Amino acid sequence: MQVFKAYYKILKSQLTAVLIYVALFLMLTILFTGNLKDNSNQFETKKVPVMVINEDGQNGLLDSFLSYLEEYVVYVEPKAGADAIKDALYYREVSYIITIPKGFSDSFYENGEINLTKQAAPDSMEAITIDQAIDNYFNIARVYQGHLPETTAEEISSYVQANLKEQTRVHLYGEQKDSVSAGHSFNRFYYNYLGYIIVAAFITSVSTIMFSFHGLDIRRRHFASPITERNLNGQLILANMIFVIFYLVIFIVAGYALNKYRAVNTNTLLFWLNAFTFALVTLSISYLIGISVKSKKAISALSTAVSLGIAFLSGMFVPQEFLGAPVLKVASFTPAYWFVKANGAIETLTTSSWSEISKIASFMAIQLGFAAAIISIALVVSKRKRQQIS
Amino acid sequence: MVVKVDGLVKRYDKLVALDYLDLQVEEGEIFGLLGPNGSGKTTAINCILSLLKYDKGNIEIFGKPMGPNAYHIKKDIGIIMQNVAVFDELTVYENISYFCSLYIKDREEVKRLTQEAIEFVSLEEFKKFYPKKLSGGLLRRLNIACGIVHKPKLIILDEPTVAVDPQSRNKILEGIKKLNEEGATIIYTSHYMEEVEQICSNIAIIDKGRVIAQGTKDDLKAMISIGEKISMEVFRIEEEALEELRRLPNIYSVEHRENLLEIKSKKGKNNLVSVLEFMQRMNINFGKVITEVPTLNDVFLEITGKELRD
Repeated sequence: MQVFKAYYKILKSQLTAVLIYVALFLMLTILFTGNLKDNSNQFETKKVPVMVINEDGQNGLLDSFLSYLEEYVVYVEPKAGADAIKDALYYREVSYIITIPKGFSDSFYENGEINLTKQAAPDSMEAITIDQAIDNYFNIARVYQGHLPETTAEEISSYVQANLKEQTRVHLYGEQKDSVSAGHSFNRFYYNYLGYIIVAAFITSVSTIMFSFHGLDIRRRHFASPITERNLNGQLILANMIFVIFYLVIFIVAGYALNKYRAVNTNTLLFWLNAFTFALVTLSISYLIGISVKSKKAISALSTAVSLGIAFLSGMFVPQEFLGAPVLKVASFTPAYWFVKANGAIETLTTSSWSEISKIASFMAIQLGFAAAIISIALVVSKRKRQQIS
Repeated sequence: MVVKVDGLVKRYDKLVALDYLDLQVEEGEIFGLLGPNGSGKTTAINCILSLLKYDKGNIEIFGKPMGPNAYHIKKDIGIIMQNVAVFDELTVYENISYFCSLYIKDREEVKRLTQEAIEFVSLEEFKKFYPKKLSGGLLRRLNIACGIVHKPKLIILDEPTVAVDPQSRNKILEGIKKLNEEGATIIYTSHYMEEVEQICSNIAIIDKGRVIAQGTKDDLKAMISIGEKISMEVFRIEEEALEELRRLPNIYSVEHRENLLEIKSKKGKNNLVSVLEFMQRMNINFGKVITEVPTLNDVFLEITGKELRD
């Protein structure tokens, strides 16, 4: 197993780069998952800064209205002068200005007219809420005032307030994210990004090792030695496979530990299998690069170019849903596209029926097809190189 | 006989690289394959090692036919190629140990032989160094250590001293002699005639893929008509004097170029004395006088009409 051992000794020289990829990926995943809060079941009211310019003075109706409005707004001290008021709105010190004109209350009691002046910051979403709250209050007040004309302003206010305090419990029935699908979503994100790391790390490490073993002068030494070609290649394949499995196991364990909705089910197993399939494709790409390039510097440049190119094109970073049709068309000629597509299908897989799984299996088969094609090219390159020996 | 090559032919399209090449290397000798660049030395070595397919001919090593699958023969051969063939990512020790382990299965034996090889090429201080940290000469020594670590019976060195400083070159040549003394048969290819003259017991001069002369260095020199070469610093000499000089006994050729008078004489005694007497008699002033025996370059020149380094 001398070749096998030499493989890992050479890998040692690339270990720093490989471990940096592992550490960076895990760190980013931890940071991302730490910041990811599930807000789908929470609601919090936000109070809007509002300036009220009351020219009508204090009375029961307005006191009651302003007290009711306090549930929605935070009152900001009124400013003196038209310019100062406009500035407050312009600089977003307030989002809304209500001007209650002189005689507002009398007008309301006499004929139910509401002539408030409202100013809102442009494109302010909060203004709609305030408008609704104001309309709500005065519409109900108007109903009481119209049907109970003898009642005093204070009584109307108390009726309105009592009315508005009534709350109705509403149940919304819709698709809710359960922990299982949340776990699958995490896995999809995790394994899509892992695809990029696998490409970058494998080209950096495996290609460098293959380059070393396939250098013309080293190959001459090997061919002149009593080691058979089959033995040499067998040991290299074994070393490569063990490296791939070990590398994947690290990420599978880490992904499982970081997923707070972790569970081992059909979907999880398929995610693992898809990652392994893609790792095999990447291994074949790395092998081809390793035996084709003429310098180690080219490997480092190719590692960056291929990994980033594939990642952006295939939807590892940007979901495929957001990519244009021409981009996806081009991407479909890369194995990474089918890897990402398989991850998407695994995420939404709900049953273990063959009809559903077969679609995912076909995506994996396409990836293996790419691997077979790349290995065939590599064999041709290898044969040509063997002829170049002397 | 350790190596026997019969009628070896290798063609690259229309170019004939080896033209019915015959070689016989006896056990225990240092066999020199001397020839200018492009003469077919490396092609011959690659064919002998089965690194290259050939069109015609037979190759036997240790009395058995050599082929790509002759692993039982390969285990007793060590090769040191022109280019350094080591792993940049492995240290000096790891490189030597790795190449040793391709031949030797026993771990302890690999350790022992690796240590011996390191001592043999005097790389003890550098065994933890990576190849990139080594100078050109040290790198060549590492290359040699990787080729001889398994104590092969036959060692093939293809131009191992190209671009090596004189100190490392001497060390390498001494090492080759030592390996031979320890029992290894050596095939040494070079276009440096001085090196071949210095270490080889049997020499084949190769040109255009054919052996044009073979034997010991004395045998080869005996094949040619020049026995002695006298060079004199002469600033002025008349054409008549040159003609008279040519008529002296044993003188083969006389040429005067750029203040240097070059006289080639046939084998014989007192050639220098008669030339000096002539110069005195003719009252011709001269400066430095150098007398040389013929070199392998003269042999090559006489046989092919061109210099070895052309």
